[in-house]
Amino acid sequence: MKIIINAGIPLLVIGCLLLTGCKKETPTAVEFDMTFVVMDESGFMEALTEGNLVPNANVRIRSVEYGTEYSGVTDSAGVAIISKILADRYDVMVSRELSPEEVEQVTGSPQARLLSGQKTSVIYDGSKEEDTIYVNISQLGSFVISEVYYSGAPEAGYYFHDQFTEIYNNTEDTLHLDSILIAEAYKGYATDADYVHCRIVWQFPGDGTNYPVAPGEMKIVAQDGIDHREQAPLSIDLSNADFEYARPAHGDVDNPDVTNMIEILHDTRFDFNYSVFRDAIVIAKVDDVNTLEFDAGGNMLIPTEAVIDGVEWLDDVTDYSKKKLNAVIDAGATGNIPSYCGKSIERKRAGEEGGKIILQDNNNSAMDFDVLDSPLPWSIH
Amino acid sequence: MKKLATIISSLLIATALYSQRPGRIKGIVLDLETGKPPDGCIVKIVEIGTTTFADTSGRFEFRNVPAGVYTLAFMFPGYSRTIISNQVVEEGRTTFVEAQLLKERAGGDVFFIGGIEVTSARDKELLPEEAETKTRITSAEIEHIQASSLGDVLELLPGIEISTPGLRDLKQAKLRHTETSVEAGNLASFGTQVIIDGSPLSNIANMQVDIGMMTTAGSGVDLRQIPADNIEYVEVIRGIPSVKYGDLTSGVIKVHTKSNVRPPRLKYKNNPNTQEANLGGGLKIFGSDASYNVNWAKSIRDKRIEGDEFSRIALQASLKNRLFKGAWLVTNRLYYTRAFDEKDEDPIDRSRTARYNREWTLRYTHNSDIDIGDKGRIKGVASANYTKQNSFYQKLVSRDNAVISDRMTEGTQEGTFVGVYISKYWVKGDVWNIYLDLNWGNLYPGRILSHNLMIGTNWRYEVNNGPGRIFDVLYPPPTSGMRGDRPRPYDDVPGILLGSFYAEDEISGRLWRDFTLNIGVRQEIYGFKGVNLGGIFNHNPVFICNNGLFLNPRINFLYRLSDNTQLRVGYGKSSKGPPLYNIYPNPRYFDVVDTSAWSLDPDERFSIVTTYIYNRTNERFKGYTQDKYEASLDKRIGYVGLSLTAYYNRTKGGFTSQTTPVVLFQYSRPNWPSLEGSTVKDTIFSRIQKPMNWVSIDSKGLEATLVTKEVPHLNTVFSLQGSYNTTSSWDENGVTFTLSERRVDSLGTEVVPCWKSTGKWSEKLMFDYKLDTFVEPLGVWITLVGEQVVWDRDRYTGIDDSLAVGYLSKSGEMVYIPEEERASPKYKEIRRIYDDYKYIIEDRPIKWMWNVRITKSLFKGSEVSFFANNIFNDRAIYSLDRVYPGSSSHSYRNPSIYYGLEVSLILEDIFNWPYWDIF
Repeated sequence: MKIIINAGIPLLVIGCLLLTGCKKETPTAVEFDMTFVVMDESGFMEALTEGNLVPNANVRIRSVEYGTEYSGVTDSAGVAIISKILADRYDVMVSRELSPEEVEQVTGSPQARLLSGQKTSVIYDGSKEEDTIYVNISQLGSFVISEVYYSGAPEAGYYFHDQFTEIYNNTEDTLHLDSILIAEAYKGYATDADYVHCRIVWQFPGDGTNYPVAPGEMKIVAQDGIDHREQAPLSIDLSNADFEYARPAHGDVDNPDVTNMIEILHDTRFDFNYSVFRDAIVIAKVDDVNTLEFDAGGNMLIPTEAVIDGVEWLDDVTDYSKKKLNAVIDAGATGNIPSYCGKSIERKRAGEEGGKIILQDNNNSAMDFDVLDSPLPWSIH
Repeated sequence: MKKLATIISSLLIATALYSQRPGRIKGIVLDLETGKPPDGCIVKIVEIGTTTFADTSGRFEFRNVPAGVYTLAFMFPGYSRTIISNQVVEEGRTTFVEAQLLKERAGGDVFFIGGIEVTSARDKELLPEEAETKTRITSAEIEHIQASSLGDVLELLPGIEISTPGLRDLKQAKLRHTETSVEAGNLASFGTQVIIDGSPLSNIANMQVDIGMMTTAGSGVDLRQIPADNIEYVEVIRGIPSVKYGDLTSGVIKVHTKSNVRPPRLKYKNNPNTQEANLGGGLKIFGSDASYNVNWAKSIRDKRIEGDEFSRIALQASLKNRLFKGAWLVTNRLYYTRAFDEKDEDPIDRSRTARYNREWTLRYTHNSDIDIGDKGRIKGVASANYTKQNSFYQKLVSRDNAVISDRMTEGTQEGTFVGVYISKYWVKGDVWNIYLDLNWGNLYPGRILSHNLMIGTNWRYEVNNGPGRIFDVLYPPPTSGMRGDRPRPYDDVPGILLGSFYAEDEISGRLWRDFTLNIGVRQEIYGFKGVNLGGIFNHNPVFICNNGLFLNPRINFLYRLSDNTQLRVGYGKSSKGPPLYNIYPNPRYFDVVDTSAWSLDPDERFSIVTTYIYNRTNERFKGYTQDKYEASLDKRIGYVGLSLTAYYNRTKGGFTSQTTPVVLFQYSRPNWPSLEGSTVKDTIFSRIQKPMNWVSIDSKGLEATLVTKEVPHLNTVFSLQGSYNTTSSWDENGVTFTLSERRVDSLGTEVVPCWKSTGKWSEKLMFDYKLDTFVEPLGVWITLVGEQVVWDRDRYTGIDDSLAVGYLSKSGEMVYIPEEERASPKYKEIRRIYDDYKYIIEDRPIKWMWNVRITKSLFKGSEVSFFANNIFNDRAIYSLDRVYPGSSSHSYRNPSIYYGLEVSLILEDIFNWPYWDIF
């Protein structure tokens, strides 16, 4: 009896282990193929091809949590198959460049345009194997922020006063910068789709026609319009900037040759400087800035309809929990550059038309911006 | 008729008392076995109820004892209570009593582990002897937990959580207080008085503000400067203290350092962040008791950062003498402490920060205790303390390319353009603190009532005449906005004189049962300027002072319902004088740049700057007060002692710093350098901090203590300490302004609105379960402590009021909206609505932390101690609820696991080591 118990139990245990160890299958994660159908809502594709499926569109999906990306291109039937994706929550971004020839066929004038669309935060877990994404002609009706140099100069301690914002006229008409607002969004309100909560708001001077910008022309708004190479040899000369954020009463340097912006709302910061790590700015147009309301924290509320353009940058582009702008204004974020490295972010080209550069504007900084190794004021690379 | 009868009977009683010429009881108490006297044995005349302490040679005396037959009781921890009855006292004669005490043997012997006398920790009195709520912590307990400073010792009190011992972080004492706001915490620690050998430490003249790093100015003293190894015992009075103690609100921590004759003992302590070495001893020199202590300690804050550490050297020497045949006991003590809080510049740190906080203190204390026979006893404490404070801060300033001014007076001049630079500044203080306390007391025993009277006076002068804030004006420290900054010497800051007079009567008697009633009153004068005797007649204050005149009565009543049950009730008022930097804060400079024109050519750059100076001195800044109410019930049931205390403390007039907007004007100066024709071209808002006296704190709670005597056969003492406290703090009539101005259409201008300040409420319930096991044959003492926090909640108060109280307009006018108009639509734009999440109560779950301490003897005179805090490394991570939806924030409620080792040996016994024979 004792022998059975003493020897039997260990034998039984070993036997069970052997049995379970015999399985040959190794555990796998749930991987599956996803089919994307891209359809055009604008009517453009229908006019071109008599169907609203979009061939040759770039489909990019990006994990919200981990930042992993997959991409594919739609075939002639407007279908892209992306294989072996992991079950996760994704942002989907679709874009299709329209060549000047294609556009001329439909509208009569040869200019490059862009069809784009997106879906944010969808769960793909294999239960559904197909999804349809709708694209539309992206807005080209106004100013865009074409470059932001925010990271600060290299090898100069913590020098970041050479920041500038470049604004570009992306249309075919002359526009005016008068009374347009530039504002910095405040953290914690990304879920509000109706308003942008802005901690700092500045305004271009002028009463309507004082500051014109020709099509394809760009203007620089500097934090300080001086030659920064004096303090930071690897920086740039902004003494010819078009505008500067100046608070001369507070001791901020003021270059008399550079037009000063008007301070509408400001906090305790010494000057209007962007964060070298992560920040978000918008440009907007309202009838009367004095009628805008405030939220509980003292931030000015700019209605989403009034926003012309926005850009957001993060130091860690995989962490969208730190985003400040709602997806309606900017569904993604660019950046991912170390601070004080002298790099800047610039909007990508969508194409060219008659010598004038057209810049992409999908309302998604992840899609629309590139990183430059050094700032390029007054030009697009 | 009734009045006449009262007068006659009082006279009769008085004469009856006086007609008896009182006798005296004198004696000596010794240990039966060793013949040595226990230091500080309590001797009590049972029938009268008065007690006295025997001195270091075992001698005691009772004067003014009426003729009669008495029973004497002798009590000292570690010894059996000894009763000597039938002692006859005759009129005018002295009765001599000799008592011999027997060491108590209760289920295990009293013993030494190495150099630690474990007796006192094992055998606490189950019923408190005194009316005030006190906790006594002995040196054995202090060594067992391996405290590095007095800050670590306080974790043995109810309501204070165990934290990592060492010198890395600031340690302050906050008694009966749960964290609400920073100001309330500062007031709680500032109001706790720490007394070392009769002389209080003071933080009033600490002007180390605006130094860019953590400072104790305006809050309690940094307890890290008091080494724990030299402490004989600590008494913490959390309840209503006797009127002997003043200039405090929360409580008193009395520290008695070792000053008796003892063999030299060397201790060394090592744990992951701290190293400490201590050598202390005492010897007899020419008939006096001389004692010394040398202590060195170092804590590293972050091992990864080289050069970030806090070190301390503390030296102490004392000399005790008996003059005039023992009638005059004199102790002279000298202390020297030097702290180094250093952070060197790190080569890869782009912001080039470096700092240090070097401070040394030299202190002399004199204690005199004079026995003048029948006439009573005079006690005096005189001390002089000098502290040299020296802080340094260096940082790369890159706030902007800017224009600054080096002007030290108000006015206009050309400015200087600066960019990025390294700023270095020092804050140096020379703090003098002179203290004197003198009191006279006498015992008047009687048949029905006994009176123990005390009358005294107490004076303290503090001044800081150091060089102050020092830096190069063209490389100013980092500031914000237009706030300029200038150096400031402290010699324009006058000293402050605090004085008080106090009188107390401790009445003992019998009202069906024994009782003790302690009534006292203390008149405290802060910022003493003079006396106006004529004021007695014309109802004006007799004392002229600047910072508050407070009359503080204190009453403590102890009623012995039976031998095993007693009731204690108390009421008291206390007050605390303000710190110097609230009375004479640094003046604020504002540099408004009227014109600024940058140019590529540095010689062509031009700017005009106007400097405005705001002097924030408020010579009449008042101290603050606390009303205290307390009731306790103590019960002894067999081997268990239980004590339950309920208390309520109400603080009023506490100080805080309020941020107020100010309006400044920018001028255009068309005829520069002449100021003629200057016109206002713009209005700018900036901010200034002003000290205000409007913080109120409400603290109430319950404390329960359960202690057993050593359980036989288990050799274990079990104790449970429970503490419940709820604290609420708010600003009485306080207002808060926004950080930036905004344009309001309905008012037609830019304004900075303000609203009623919000407050905070918090609540905490915690228990400490402790098991102490003593195993004599092995020479081991093991303690297991379980700390449980059951409730830990807090929320904001006063966030329902969204209406504006007033606003500062661009013209510089401060407008207060009348109460009835606050809800009017005219002011709708300046209402403040709080986000929904602000209403959430942060309710933390139960958390436990287990800690173990072991002390084991190695050989005679030597022992090793080991401790481990949070042995299961339960960090109690808590995800906060009260955050903006979608974001998350976590806190670690428990420190990470921590352990340490300490070794000590008595040097005298080393030479008797049998191991020497090997060599």
